[in-house]
Amino acid sequence: MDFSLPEELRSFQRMVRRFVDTELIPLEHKEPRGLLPATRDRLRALTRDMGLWLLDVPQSLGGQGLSALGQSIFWEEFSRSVAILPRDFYIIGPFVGAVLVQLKGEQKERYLDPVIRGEKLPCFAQTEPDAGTDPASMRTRAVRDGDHYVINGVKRFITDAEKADFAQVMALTDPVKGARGGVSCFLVDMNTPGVKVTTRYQTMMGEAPCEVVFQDARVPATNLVGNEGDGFRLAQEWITLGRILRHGARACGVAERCLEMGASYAKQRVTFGAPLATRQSIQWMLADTYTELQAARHMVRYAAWKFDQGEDVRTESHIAKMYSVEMGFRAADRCLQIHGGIGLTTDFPVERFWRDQRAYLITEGAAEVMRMTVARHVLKYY
Amino acid sequence: MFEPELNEQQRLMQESARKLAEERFKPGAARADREHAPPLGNIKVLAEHGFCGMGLPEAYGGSGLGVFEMVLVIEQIARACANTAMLLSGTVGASARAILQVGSEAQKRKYLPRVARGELLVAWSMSEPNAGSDVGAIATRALRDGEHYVINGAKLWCSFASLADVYLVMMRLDPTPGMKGIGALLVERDTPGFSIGRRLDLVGLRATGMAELLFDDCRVPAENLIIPAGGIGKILAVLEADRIGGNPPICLGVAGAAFDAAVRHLKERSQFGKPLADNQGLQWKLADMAIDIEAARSLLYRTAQRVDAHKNSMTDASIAKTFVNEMAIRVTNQAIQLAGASGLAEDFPFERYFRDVRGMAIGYGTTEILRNTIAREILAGRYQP
Repeated sequence: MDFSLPEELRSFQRMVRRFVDTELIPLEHKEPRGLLPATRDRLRALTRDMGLWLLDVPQSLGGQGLSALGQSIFWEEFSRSVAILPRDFYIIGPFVGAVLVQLKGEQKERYLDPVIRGEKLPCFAQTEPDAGTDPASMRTRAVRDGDHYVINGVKRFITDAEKADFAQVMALTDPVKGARGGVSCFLVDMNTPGVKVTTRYQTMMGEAPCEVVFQDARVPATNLVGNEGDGFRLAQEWITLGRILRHGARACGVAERCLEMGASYAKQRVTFGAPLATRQSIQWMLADTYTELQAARHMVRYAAWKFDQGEDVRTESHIAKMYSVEMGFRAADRCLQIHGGIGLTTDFPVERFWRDQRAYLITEGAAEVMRMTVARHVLKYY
Repeated sequence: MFEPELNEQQRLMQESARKLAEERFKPGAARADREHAPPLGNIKVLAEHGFCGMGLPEAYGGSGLGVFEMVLVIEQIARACANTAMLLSGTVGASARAILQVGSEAQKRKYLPRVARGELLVAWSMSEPNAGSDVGAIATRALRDGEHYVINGAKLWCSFASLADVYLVMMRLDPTPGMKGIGALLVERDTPGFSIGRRLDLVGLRATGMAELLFDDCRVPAENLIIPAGGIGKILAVLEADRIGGNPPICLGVAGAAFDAAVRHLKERSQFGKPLADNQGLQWKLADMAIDIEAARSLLYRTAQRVDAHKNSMTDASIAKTFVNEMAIRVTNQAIQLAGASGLAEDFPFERYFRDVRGMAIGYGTTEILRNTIAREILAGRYQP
């Protein structure tokens, strides 16, 4: 057994940490309401030069083809800063994802290549008002009509829909089969007649996802990805990796920074003649965060490593996500408490970490749904 | 649900506060939060219904009610709008009580009737950058100069700073280090040398006009002295009453509102072919929330009644505030979770409930400092369960 990271990942980790320390963390104070366009351009040029660009895209398509373990190192380090709004991934290149990467032929030329070149912006539309954690309740229908499909339905909490050029839309092609082979994935241009962004939902973490309505939207049959019924299979890898990286590893980075801020403030803040760090209860808060962080980090890296071995990591991804997001929130909450009043102010990044991290107990599958799935697994094998 | 021994007057008061808040304050609650705009007009409405003079004697235009009644009313207001409840607690809370308890007759006559009419807000200012829970570390100082005091320094975390007419400010009146040198002066808004500093934007309770106070050779007449150096001990009872009457009922009210909204959501929303409410895991969360709320309410009501009967111990307020604060964080946190993505969106109240109660475990004495107090009393043999 060898728990150490390979040397190339350790030097990669040092590089990302340096980038976050020197480029991102100072922006938390300078541009607290989100980055200025010029800053974004400068950061994008930097990440491109450093090879922090299209990390998850295969090298054959111009990306880095980084292993899941490598990506987990990236997400952990990258998440030590709140300078960039949650889900604003574009600092590290276009957000491609598992569905687009699988496109072939004309679909690849029309949708994947322009995304990689930065000419087109995609969004991913699965969630509906009555189908969040339960995609089987999906109601959006796609009905074949000659060489088109006609799509009707409502998608909710769709990140970036307001500025996207096209959407990857999950819709029912076979209501009888439902989630078991009845859902298909379509590439839908946002300017298609009948497609309308109706509402934006401002959320507590600064992100504002949209509601998108499809009303008799006619989509060419050639825009079906794969075959009818392939929808969930196509999205599976993206969602599994999302649990490990954008939720699990991310939470570890949040906890790491909260530990840094909490410890440093506890050492410097003097009350009743002694630094907070000399108080045992404060020491124990830090000890708990540190311990839980180690546990989460091992779960996340193990799940990523196992994914890289080509194994099925659905259960590992569920437990890593469930444990890490809750751990990250406890870490942020303790950090807030150690800071006292100053932690509550919006001038300071602590409350941002606290608000953002709270959201991750819900996004892309609530912690309760993770528990349901894990319980099913336990009862099957024990 | 919990039915405390309310007399007819208390029951009517609770009901009318609930109705008033539901009809008049709830519709503007989300906007006040979003725009950081204190709902100051609501204080006038509360005054018209007699709520601003609750804790003041009839001689000063009040109705002579106790901390328990204040808890009942503020809880109901907070169910609808936590920022309005904060404004009310600021109006009827520590500053008015302190003036009543230790103020001169002239100070009482000058300020209290206007407080009861909702025309005057007296802000309470204690904290400084290096003196939060540690009051003895206060550095803002006032030097006597003939018939005046000259104040220099800065205060932090002053709720209602941008709205108040008068400020009750703790400061160092005497060079003796620690608590012995600390007293308080009343400072009126337009006093030369006094200004409102930077606005402080918080994660929650965003519409209370919180800001810094700045004193630059600010000259205040000597008659504005309200607490002489070393006199803080005389208002400990005021602070204890405020720790119970001001902060925990807001937490209790917001937790109740979050609970109601969560129950509605679980009944209305279906996933996996059945209402969310049919999932045992979620039912148990609701049950835990109800247990938490009822325990907190019983504890808070009992403590308030003990404060009114002057039977409270040193630990009572600390125990009640700590439990109610942390209960509200747990309950509003679970409510967000039960509401799923809607819980995160600003179009729904869940995320606001959660943000609004979080700071309450830090303001008015952090739950850590209160645990210090509780432990000290236990170890000194002054607490019996």
